[in-house]
Amino acid sequence: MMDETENINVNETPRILINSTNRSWYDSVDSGYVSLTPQSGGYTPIISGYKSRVSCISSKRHHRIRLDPLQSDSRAQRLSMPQMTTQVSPRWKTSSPLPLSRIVLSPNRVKATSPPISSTDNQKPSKYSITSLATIVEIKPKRLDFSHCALSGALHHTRATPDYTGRETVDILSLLGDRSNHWRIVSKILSFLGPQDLCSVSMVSKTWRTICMNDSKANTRRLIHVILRKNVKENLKLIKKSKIEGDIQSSPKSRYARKGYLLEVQNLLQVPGNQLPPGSPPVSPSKVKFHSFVKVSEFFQCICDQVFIVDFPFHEVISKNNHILSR
Amino acid sequence: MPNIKLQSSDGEVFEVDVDIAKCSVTIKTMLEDLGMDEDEEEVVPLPNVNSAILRKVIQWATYHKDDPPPPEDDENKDKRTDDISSWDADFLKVDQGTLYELILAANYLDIKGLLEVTCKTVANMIKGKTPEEVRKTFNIKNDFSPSEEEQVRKENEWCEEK
Repeated sequence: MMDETENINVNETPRILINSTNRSWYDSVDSGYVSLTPQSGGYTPIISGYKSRVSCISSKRHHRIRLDPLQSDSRAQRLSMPQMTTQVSPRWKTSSPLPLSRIVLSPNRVKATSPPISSTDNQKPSKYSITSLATIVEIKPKRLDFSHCALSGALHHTRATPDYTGRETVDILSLLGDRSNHWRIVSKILSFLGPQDLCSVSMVSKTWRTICMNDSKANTRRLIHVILRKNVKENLKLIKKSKIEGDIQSSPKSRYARKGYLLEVQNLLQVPGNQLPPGSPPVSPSKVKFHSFVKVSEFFQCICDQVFIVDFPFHEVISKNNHILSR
Repeated sequence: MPNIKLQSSDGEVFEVDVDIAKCSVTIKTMLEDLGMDEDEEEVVPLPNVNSAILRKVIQWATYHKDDPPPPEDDENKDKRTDDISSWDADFLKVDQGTLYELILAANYLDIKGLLEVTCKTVANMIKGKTPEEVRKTFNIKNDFSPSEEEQVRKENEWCEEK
């Protein structure tokens, strides 16, 4: 139906083109029209005809190179561009600009319009039109085949997934989520699981992981759990650490002991029998002189003592000597 | 009591009390929307449910026909899975394939109580298990590559039991 009306339209257009006495309304439409299509052929119908012929020839060359349906589609569109200008303009006059955009976009109508164009043009395009029609004929059965296939497929398979009744094990979450899009059920099942279980679920397989991630509520619960657990565990560490620090404050020795430092020293301190005699007290440099004097005085004292010790025999000696002397 | 005829995907026809069939919101709505004559010989086709599953569903619905309507989902309520009645637990001692089909049927027929209890059963199959145990339960292949596995493990390392 659509194609018929289209054809009628197009057949009318050349007439308008030929006896285009009413150039006045062409002019009036011009501004709006030019803004809508890149080719300004609509303004002067003769040029538009010429352009269409040129595009036909050029596209024909394309056609000889390869018979690609896609190519022919684009060609057809290019070919019909100027033609559409003539076809649209009468409509423009009668109705809104909407049909124009519709025509430009739909390839079906473009195809339908192509034979009449060529019939109005000279021989070469008409030849082309036959070949282009042939390609169209080639495409159409394919489309029918496709739709037929889809229809029969829909009739035979009433369900998207096969029947799993009686299977001992099935990957139930993947089947519900990934394969049959029952996300509501999946999130229902996940909602029954605790966050710890959600962690496990996310570690089962790739599919389960995506399922778990896709369910925003479950994923949020899981992540919150992960963060909480992380904090709790880190806090446990901190608590341990602070405990150690408390120990340090209570007894510095134990800290060293814990670290293994100064163990020997502590052992020495702890074993009383092994105590070393206390060494000389540390001496500050300012008292070195004093001490040296003390030492000297001690030295002299010592000599004096010795002198005294020696003295006595000396005295004896002397006395002896005296004795001797006296003798 | 009026009866209704339900036809499973494999062609078997079940004659069920309308009150029992109305456990399914799908059938209930259909009957309300289309109206139902007493002497109607029309068969309701259920192309998504096979006869084995439909039989089970009818069995469940018959047992639970006097149940009060299940409470609305409460988002904040703690979800429990240990409140499955012993009859339901026995009823759901089936292979996983049947359980899956029951879930689909409950969803398709919109039987809230059955969907709830089947989902809980599945959740119970997952609960308290390590990933490896879950894989074993459902016969799932671990398809993580070593690097991916490492990444996943790292992400969840804080969740692991000590």
